[in-house]
Amino acid sequence: MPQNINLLPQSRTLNTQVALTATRLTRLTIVVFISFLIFGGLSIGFLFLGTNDLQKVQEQNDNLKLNIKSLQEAEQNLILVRDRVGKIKTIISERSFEDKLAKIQNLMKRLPVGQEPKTLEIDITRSRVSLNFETSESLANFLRVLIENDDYGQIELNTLQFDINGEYEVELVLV
Amino acid sequence: MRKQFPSLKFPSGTTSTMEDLKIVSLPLFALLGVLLFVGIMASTLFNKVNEVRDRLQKITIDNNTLKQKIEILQQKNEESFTSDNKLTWALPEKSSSVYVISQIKKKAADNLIIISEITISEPRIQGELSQSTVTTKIEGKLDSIFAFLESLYEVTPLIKVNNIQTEEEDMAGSDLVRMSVELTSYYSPYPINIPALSQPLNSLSAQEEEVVRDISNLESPIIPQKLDPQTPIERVDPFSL
Repeated sequence: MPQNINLLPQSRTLNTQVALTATRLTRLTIVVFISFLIFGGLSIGFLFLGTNDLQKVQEQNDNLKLNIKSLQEAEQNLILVRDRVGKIKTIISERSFEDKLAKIQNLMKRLPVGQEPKTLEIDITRSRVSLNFETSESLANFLRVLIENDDYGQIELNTLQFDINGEYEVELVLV
Repeated sequence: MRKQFPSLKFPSGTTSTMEDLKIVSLPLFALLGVLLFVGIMASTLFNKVNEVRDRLQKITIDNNTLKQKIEILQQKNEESFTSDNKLTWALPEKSSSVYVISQIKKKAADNLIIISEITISEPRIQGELSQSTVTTKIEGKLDSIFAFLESLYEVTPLIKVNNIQTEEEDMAGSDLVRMSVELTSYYSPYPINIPALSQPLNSLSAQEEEVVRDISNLESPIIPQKLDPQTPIERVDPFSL
């Protein structure tokens, strides 16, 4: 007598491969769902904590903004100061006359006592000065001192005249 | 030979595959459904988490900037505004020619210089800085003129000497020198916009502080005191004697 009795037709027997696949799919579904529940729970936890933190930080932000509004006068002042300082720096950088004036004063100190320039012109680019000398020695001395002095990068002797009074007149352009 | 009941007779091949498919399709659809659900939910959660994290990060940075700004402003608030006033004198909002003339006259008097003529040109706007040219004719000893010109660099509003020129015909036979001096004075409107609250604010740099210190040492023009009208007084009746 046979031990396994299968009354169903052979074609209705369950394919083990198919059954295994179905079981695997079911397990995979459960694993995916459980993983989602874990990660989802963690994310919701983070969201909850993050929202709480966000609320606190937002409150702090509002308070800080209120504080800044109470310091608005100081802020306006600082902006005004920065604006003025920036523009004043531009003006100061454009002012070069003081330096030129100091050089001319330095030059005048080297003239013989009591002598003053006949004409003097100082502008942004150069200085022009006319001087009278009673003797050729005083003229030569002055020119030597001027050349030795390194105040000017360029010295042009525009004119050198000898007039009927016996004086030497020179016109210098100093750059 | 066994006889099979006719109704239990299955067609072979295709029926078996259909049954297999039916068995597999249920967990497969369940898996697909779960994946779809998980995908949508995970994406939503991920977006939310990212959004919260980004906002938290942004507001934290914003708070740090605001804290730094408050610190700078509190420090500024404690400082005296005297130097700031000096700065506005150095570069006023509106034409500074009146103050420039006042300063020129004061410095001329201090250095024994005679002013014979003062001319003010129309202001010209050059970028953010507006300029006015003042031409003045002065007379005095050469040393005094030099001292006068130097002193113009010690006053506010800021003045730039453009050029000086002697007037040749007047120089002979006298120790007095006549000169024409061309000066530029400046003014500039105040800034009208304040940066956004969350925009960082830096305190003044060392170089800027130095400029403020230099300017605060300059001499401001003397502004006459406000003269309020006299309060009405009772007049004595001259005929009441």
